Amino acid sequence: MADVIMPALGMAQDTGKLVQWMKAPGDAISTGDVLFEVETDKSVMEVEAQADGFLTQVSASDGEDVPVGQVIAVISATAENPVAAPAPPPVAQAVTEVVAAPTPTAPAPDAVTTGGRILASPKARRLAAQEGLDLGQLAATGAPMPYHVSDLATLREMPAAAGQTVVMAATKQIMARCQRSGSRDFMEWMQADGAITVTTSAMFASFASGAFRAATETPTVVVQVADPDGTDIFLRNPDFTRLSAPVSETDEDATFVLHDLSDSFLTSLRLGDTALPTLSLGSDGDSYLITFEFSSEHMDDAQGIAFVSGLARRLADPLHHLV
Amino acid sequence: MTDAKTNTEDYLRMYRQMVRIRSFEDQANQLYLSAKMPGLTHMYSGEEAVAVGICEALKVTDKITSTHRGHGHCVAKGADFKQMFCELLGKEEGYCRGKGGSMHIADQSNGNLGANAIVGGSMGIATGSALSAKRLGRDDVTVCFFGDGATAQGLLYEVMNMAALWSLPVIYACENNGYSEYTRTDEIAAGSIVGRAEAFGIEAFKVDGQDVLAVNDLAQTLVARCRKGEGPFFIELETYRYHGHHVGDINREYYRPKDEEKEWHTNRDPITNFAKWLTAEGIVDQAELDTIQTEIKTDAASAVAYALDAKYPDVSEVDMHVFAETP
Ligand SMILES: Cc1ncc(C[n+]2csc(CCOP(=O)(O)OP(=O)(O)O)c2C)c(N)n1
Ligand SMILES: [Mg+2]
Repeated sequence: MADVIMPALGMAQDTGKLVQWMKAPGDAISTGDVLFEVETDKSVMEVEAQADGFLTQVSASDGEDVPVGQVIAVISATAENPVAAPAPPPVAQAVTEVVAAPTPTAPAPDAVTTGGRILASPKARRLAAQEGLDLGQLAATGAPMPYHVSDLATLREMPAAAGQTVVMAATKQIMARCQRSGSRDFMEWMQADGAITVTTSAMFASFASGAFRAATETPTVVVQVADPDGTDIFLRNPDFTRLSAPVSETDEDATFVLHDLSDSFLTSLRLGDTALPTLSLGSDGDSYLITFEFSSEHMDDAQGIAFVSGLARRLADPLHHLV
Repeated sequence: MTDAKTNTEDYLRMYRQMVRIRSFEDQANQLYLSAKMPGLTHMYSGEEAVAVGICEALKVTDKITSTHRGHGHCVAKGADFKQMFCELLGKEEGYCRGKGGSMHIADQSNGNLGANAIVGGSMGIATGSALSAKRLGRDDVTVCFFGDGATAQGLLYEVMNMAALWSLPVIYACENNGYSEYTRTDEIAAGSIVGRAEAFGIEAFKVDGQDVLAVNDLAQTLVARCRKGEGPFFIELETYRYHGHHVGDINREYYRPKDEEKEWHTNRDPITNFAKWLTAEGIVDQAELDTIQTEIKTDAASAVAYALDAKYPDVSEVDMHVFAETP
């Protein structure tokens, strides 16, 4: 008897895609016969049998992504049990349903040690995004990071266990940090050189609006500036107005929500509310902390990343972006 | 192959060492494919007679430098299975406390100055080691293992020049396995390989790297001559790797025909051929050889089991052996 495994064929390879079996369950096998084709991130390769016998206990099917090292069949002396008994469900079964869980409300236990970052392999991240799975949910259980594709199996089980049927997109988070000195120098310079007072909140609204427009090509950007003590104000295209001038308010629906935390003890908000993209700007010593929450219904990951990067660049070096 | 019987013990040790390398590699290959081992690894299987023939001509105090395909050199120079597997798996008891892995394993206790992931990277180290032996008045010999592909590295020509000028006790051992990565040697190396050394006035030899006795005879002679100050020397060993360039290189037909692989396996296997000779000469019978094989396979399997269960180093070791205090 010899196990047939999904082989690791390269560095940092989490899974191999079983392109197709070249032998059927129960077939007689000789050493050197091509058993199946596997696709890695580099190419498609043929995997040969390492033993003589019969192909039995086949537990993975064509097209499946299988974690490397996993036993997917056994070459046995007899042709009994050609197919594996239904044990734990094969890993890639849930690929087609996009049923994601809501974001956990409790912060992930790992948030402390990883600064809120979820550590996962690029492939695990990509598959999770494609399937609408939220790695944060796994983090909330305290499962040790970094996550690999094999961890997604656990994650796929989770919403079902919770009896979750509502289809809603997972909240995603992007965080960034940039130096405050650029903005501070800029405000001082405006004051000294032109006696123009630029407020932090005006600067935040304008830069956020500009970065959002650049990343998403949204024609009209309405920023809902949250005010925990009073009424939120809605600013229309604040990046089109001079920083020192008042921005016109509007009663249109907001494009995103902005929390200015720079004058408070709070540094970052992660409320997991996916209704609108939500940006919070806090300060920490000499840095601004940017936290952005959104879901795939608002924009794709690349746009979210472009938005946060663009905002950080503007805050770090305002002049560069204004002239 | 020549004079038998007198050296039964030596012969059996050579046989045993070759089988140890093969068993080690079979286990390492499995560990890698089943995703239990990090990094990447290159199998030495098929080339055993090279490492064993040469290292059996060396003393513990003699030095070797090794390559990315280095497990064979390490075993042949006397390394222990458990510590080697622990190293491959990143465990605390590994030769480099798990920091080196397959391509940076070093066993100073047996004079293995280390594997080297940089093709040709150990040529300077080997030559420096020979220089230090000479300056300190010791009779240590250093053997520098490298592949045919490494002859394309300029360092080889710098060090051969120096070694020849200074008559250093170093042997450059070029393991010509016919390929570097996925390219045939005759497509990457113009002219003759031994001719390169001869250009520096270095005596160069070509030997069948599948014949452990032929390799050992030549190595004995050259090591003795090195000790007398007649070095350096150059050997080209004609050999073959059974596996792919690395463990994941499982479909090779696009660069290497299956018939060719089969020919080497069937007719030129260093272990099978040596076993045939040993039994034909009446030095041992097949049953004894089978017992040796079984013992060693069991040894290797239990070393793997041990290493899989062994402890990872504590995080506090992360900078251990990385920074050295300067006096
Ligand atoms: C300086 C350098 N260049 C390229 C590589 C990539 N590389 C790894 S092994 C190899 C081929 C080496 O061929 P050879 O010296 O014949 O050794 P073999 O693998 O055949 O034992 C190459 C090009 C490397 N490791 N180092
Ligand atoms: Mg080579």
